[in-house]
Amino acid sequence: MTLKIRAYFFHILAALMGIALSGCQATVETLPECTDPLGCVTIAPAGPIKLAALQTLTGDSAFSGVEQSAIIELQLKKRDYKFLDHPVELQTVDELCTPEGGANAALKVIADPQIVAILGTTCSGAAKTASPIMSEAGLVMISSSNTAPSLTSLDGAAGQDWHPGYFRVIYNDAIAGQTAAQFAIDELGIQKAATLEDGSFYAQQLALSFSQAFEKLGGEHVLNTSIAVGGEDMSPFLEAIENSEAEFVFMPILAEPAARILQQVKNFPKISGVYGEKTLFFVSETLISQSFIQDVGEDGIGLYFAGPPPLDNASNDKLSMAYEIEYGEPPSTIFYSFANDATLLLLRAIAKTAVPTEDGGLIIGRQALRDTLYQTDDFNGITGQLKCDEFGDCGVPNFSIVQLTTPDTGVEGLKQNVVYTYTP
Amino acid sequence: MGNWRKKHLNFWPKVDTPVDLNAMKLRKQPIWKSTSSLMTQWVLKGANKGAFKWENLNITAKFNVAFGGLLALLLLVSGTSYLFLSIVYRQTEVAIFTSTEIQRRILEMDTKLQTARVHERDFFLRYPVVGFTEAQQNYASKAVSHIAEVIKLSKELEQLIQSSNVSDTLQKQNLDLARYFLFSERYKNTFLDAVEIATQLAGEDDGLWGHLDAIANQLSQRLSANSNVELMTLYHKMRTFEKDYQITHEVTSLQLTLNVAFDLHQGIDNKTGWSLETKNEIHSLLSKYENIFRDIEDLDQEIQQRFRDFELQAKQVDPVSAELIRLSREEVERTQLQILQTKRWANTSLGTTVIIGLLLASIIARILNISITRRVITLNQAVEELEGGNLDIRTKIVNRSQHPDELGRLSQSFNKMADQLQANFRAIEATNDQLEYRVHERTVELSDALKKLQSTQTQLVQTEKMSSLGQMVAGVAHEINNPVSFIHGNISPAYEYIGELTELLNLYQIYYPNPNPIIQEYIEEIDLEFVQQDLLQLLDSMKEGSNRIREIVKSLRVFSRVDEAEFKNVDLHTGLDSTLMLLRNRLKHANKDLGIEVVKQYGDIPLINCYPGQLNQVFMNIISNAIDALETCNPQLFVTHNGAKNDQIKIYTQVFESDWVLIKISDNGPGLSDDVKEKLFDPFFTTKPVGKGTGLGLSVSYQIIVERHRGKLWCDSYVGEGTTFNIQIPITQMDKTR
Repeated sequence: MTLKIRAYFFHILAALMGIALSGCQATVETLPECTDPLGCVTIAPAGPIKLAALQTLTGDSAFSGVEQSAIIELQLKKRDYKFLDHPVELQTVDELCTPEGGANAALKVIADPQIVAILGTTCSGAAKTASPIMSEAGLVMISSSNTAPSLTSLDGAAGQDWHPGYFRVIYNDAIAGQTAAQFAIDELGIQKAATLEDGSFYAQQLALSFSQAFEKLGGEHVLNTSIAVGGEDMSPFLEAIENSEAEFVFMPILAEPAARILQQVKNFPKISGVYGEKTLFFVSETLISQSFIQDVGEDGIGLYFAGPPPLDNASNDKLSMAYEIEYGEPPSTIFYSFANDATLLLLRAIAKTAVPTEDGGLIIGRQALRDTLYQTDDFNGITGQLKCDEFGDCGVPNFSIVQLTTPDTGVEGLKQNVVYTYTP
Repeated sequence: MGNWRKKHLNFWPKVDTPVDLNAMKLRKQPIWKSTSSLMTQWVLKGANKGAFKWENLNITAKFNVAFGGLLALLLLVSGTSYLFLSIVYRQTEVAIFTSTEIQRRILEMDTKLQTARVHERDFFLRYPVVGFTEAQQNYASKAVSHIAEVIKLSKELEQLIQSSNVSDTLQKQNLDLARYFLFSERYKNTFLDAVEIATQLAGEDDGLWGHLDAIANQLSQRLSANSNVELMTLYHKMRTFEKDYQITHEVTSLQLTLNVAFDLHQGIDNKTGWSLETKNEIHSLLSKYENIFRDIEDLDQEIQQRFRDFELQAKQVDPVSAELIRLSREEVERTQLQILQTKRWANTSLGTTVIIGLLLASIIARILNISITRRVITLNQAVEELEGGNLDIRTKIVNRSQHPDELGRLSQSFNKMADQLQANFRAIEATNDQLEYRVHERTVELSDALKKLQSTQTQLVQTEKMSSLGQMVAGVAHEINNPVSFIHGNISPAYEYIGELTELLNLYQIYYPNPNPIIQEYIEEIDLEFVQQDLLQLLDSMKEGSNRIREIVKSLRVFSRVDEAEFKNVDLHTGLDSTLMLLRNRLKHANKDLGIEVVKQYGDIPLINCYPGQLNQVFMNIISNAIDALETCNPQLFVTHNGAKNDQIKIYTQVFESDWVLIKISDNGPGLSDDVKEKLFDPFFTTKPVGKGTGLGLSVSYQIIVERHRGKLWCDSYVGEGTTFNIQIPITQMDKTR
C-alpha cells in the first residue's frame, strides 16, 4: 500500500509506543571476562581498591593490633590512600584475639566481594578461624604477627590450620619452640620443663611446639596446664609447677598473668630456689615491652624472652620515627616492622597482579594474587629478605633469646641482652 | 514562486476561496484548533507529495482512511491505556508484594533467629536438668531447624532484593544480607559444634562427665574399700573442686582438682599395706580421672568459645537485622511513594495520550470536515441558493484533477447543470426582457399617446373653454363696458346736476321757507333732507360701483386676453393684480379680520415675453387653489409683525439668473402630502369634492408653463407648513412659434 498516511499513523503509533516502552529498557553493562579460577575483583574506573585489616583492637593484645593497624594506615596515608590510580579503602575489623573473633571478623570482611586482601590477623587464634573463611572466599591474608606453626607448616608439612591464601611475614613459632627447647637443654641443661598456657591457640601452639622440641631433645615435659587469665591467685598453677618439679617453665602467655605468676613465685620455696635451684621462666616475644618490665620489676629478673632479634637497620629506624611523628609515640612492640613488610608485600603483589582495563578499571584475579605472593622470593623488607614458601611462610626465621637482668634498663636494655641467637 | 507554489502549496487543489476563508478563520481560532488545522494541512500536504494524493481518493477511501485512522487511534489509546494501566498495576503489585515480602521475610528471619537463640540457650541450660536426649529433641533440633530456615530466608531475601526493583539503600544492604547469611550459617555450624561438644561432654551414654563420674565412683569404691580416711578425704576434696569446676568452669578449680589428684597420687604412693597392683589400679583410675577432666576442660574451653562466638554473632547480626527491619519499613514507605509517583506518571501518560488522541481525532475530523462535510454543506447551500433562484451560484470545485472523488464529480455536475440552467434562464430572461421592453415601449407609446390625447383634449377643452369664456367674458365685458361707461360717464354730470338741483332746493328752501303744504308734505314724506344726503352718497356708491365695474371689466379683459394669442411682452404684475382683482371677492370675508391677506413682494422684473392670458390662467389656478386650501382647512396661524393671526397668500417675484423670472405663490395652508405632491400635476387629479374641481387646473398650468413657455413649475409643500408654487419662466422666448 502506497498510502503514506498509513505511515504517518504508524509513526505516531510507534512513537507513542516507544515513549510508553522507553521506561522498560534496562542498561546492560558488559563486564570484562575473568578467567581466574577463584574469580576476580573487578574495580571500576576510579573505583576503590578495598583492603581489610583484621587486627586486635580491644583486649589485652590490643596494643599489638592497634600498632599494626597504625602502620598499615601509615603506609596508605603515605600514598594518600591511592594506589594504581585508584583510591584505597581500608576496612579494619577487630578480631578480638580469639578464634571466634577472627571468624566473625573474617565473615564480616568476606561478605563484601570487592575486598581484595586482608592484612592480619594480630593473633594466631583469630587467624585459626579466619584463615579458612578467608581461603574459602578466595582471598589472601598476610599476617605480621601470627606465629602459630599450624597456620602454615610444621616440620615441612602443612599445618593443621593451613589454608591456601594465608601468608605471614613473621617467623613460624615452630622455630621459636625449637629455639627455646634447644636453649633450655643445650644452654641451661634443663631436664624437666613445664608449659603454661592461657588456653589461647597461640599459647597452646607455642607450648606444644616447645614441648615437642624439648622432648625430642631428650628433655622431660612434666607439666602442661592452662592458667586462668583473669585470675588473681596463681598459686594452684605454681603449686602444680612445684609438684611437677619442673626446672624450666615455658609460658607463652599474656603479660598480666605472666606478671602475676612471677610475682607469686616467691610464695613457693621450691620454685623460688629456697631449697635448691630456682625454676627458670621463659616467656614469648609478646612480652618484650616496657610496660611488662615495669610491671614485673625485680620479680622478673632472670626471665628469658624468645623473639626475633632487634632490627638494627636504618629503614626500621626511619619507620619507627615516622610512626612516632604520626602518632606521637614510638611503636611499643616489634610487630610494626612486620606489619610494614606485610603491607608493602601485599601492595606489590596487587600491583603485579592487577590488570588494567581499557576504561581505567582494574581486574585482580584472586588466584593470580595468591600465586604472586607464593612466588615472592626477593622482597627486601625491613625485617629481612622475604621469601614465601608453599605454605605461606614468608618471614625470616631469625630468632634470639634475651634475658631480663636489669629491669631498670627497660625494654631497650632487655633487647640488647641477647643470650642466644638462632639463625637457620 | 509559481512553480514552487505549485509544488509545495498546491496540496489543497484549487480551493482558493475556502482555503483563504479557513486561513482567516484560523487566526481567530483557539491555538489547539489552529494547530489541528496546521497538522491537518501537514497531513494533507505530506500526503500530496508522493504518489498518493488525498484529493484523488474517493469518499469511500477517505472514510476508510479516516475511520481507519480513528480506529487506529482508538486502538492506540486503548492499547496505551491498557499498557499504562498494566504497567501501573504490575508495578504496584510487584512493588507492594516485593516490599511487603521483604519486610515479612526480614521479620520472619529475625523472629526465627531469636527463636533459635532461645532454643539454643534453653538447650544448654536445660540439658543438665531434663537430660541430654530430651534437650536435644526439644531444643537443639528446633534451634537447628530455625537456623536452617533463617539461612534459607536470608539467601532468598538476598536474591529477592537483587532481583527486585528496591531502593539503592536496600540494594546496598545486600552486603549486610551477605553477612547475615554468612553469620547465620556460622551460627548453625557453631551451634552444631557446640551441640557436638556438649554431646561429648554430657552425652547420656558416653559423655565425658558421665565417664568422669564413673571413674570417680570407681576410685571412690577402691579407696573406700581400703578404708583409708585420709585418701577418702582427699578424694572428696578433689570431687569438691570438681563440682566447683562444674559450676564455675574456672581453670583454677580444674587446677585445684588436679593438684588434689596429685596429692592423692602421692598419698597412694605413700600408703602402706596396699599391694602394688592395688596402687597401680588406683593410680590408673586417678590418671584416667585426670585425663578425662583435662579433656572436659578442653571441651569446656571449646564450648565456651562457641558461646562467645554466639555472642559475637549476635553482635554482628542484630544490628544488621535491626537495620534491615528499618530499611524494609522505609522500603514499604518508599514503595507507597513509588506507587503514588507511578500513578501520577500513569495519569500523566494517559492524559498525554488522550490529548494526542484528541488532537489526532480533531485532525481526522478536520480532514473529513474539509474534504467531505464542508464540501457537502457548500454543495447543499449551492443547491438551496440555486433553488432559491440564484443562478450565479457555483460550488467550489476542490478537485480539478483527473480523478476527482464523488463530491468533486457531483460539484462538477452541479456546476455544469447550473451553467446550463443559467444559460437557459438567461435566454428566457432575454426573451422576456425583450417582450417586456416591447410591451413597455407600447405602453409608453400608448401612455404618451393617451397623455397627449388627454393633454390635447384638455387643452382643447380648456382652450375652447377659455376661448369661449374669454370671448364670453370679453363680450360681457364689452357689453358691460358700454353701459358702465354710460353710467360712469354720466355720474359726473349727475353729480354736477344733483349738486345744482340740491343747490336749487337749498335756494328754494332759503327763499321759500314755507312751501306749499303739498310740497311741504311731500318734502316731509320723502324726507328731502335725507334724500339730499343719501343721493350724494348714492352717487358716490354709484361712482364707486361703476369704477369697480370698470375695473372688473378691465380685469376681465386683461385676464381673458382672448385677443392676445401670440407672445407679447407684458407686465406679470398686471396679470397678477388682475387675477387678484377677479378673486377679490373670494379673498374678502364678512369678518374683515378673517379674510385672506395677500402679501405682494413684487420684485423689479422686466416685461416678460409670454402668452399673458395663459399665464393669467396659471395665476388664477394657483391662487384659486391657495384660497381653496385656506378655505377648506382650518385657518393656519400666522404670526404677523403686529401679533395678528391671519390666512395669508404671498406673491413674490424676482429676476432669477438674469434670464429668468421666478414667481412664488405661497399659502400658509395645510400643505400637501407626498402622495398628493406626486400626483399634483396629473390630469384629472383633484383633492376637492366631486363637482367642485375638474382636476385639470394644475395639469393645464404645468402644460402652459413647461410646454408653452419652456419654463418650470414645481411645488414645495410640507404638511403643516403651507405650500409654495414656483413658476420659473424665461424672460424672453427664443422660439415664439409654439
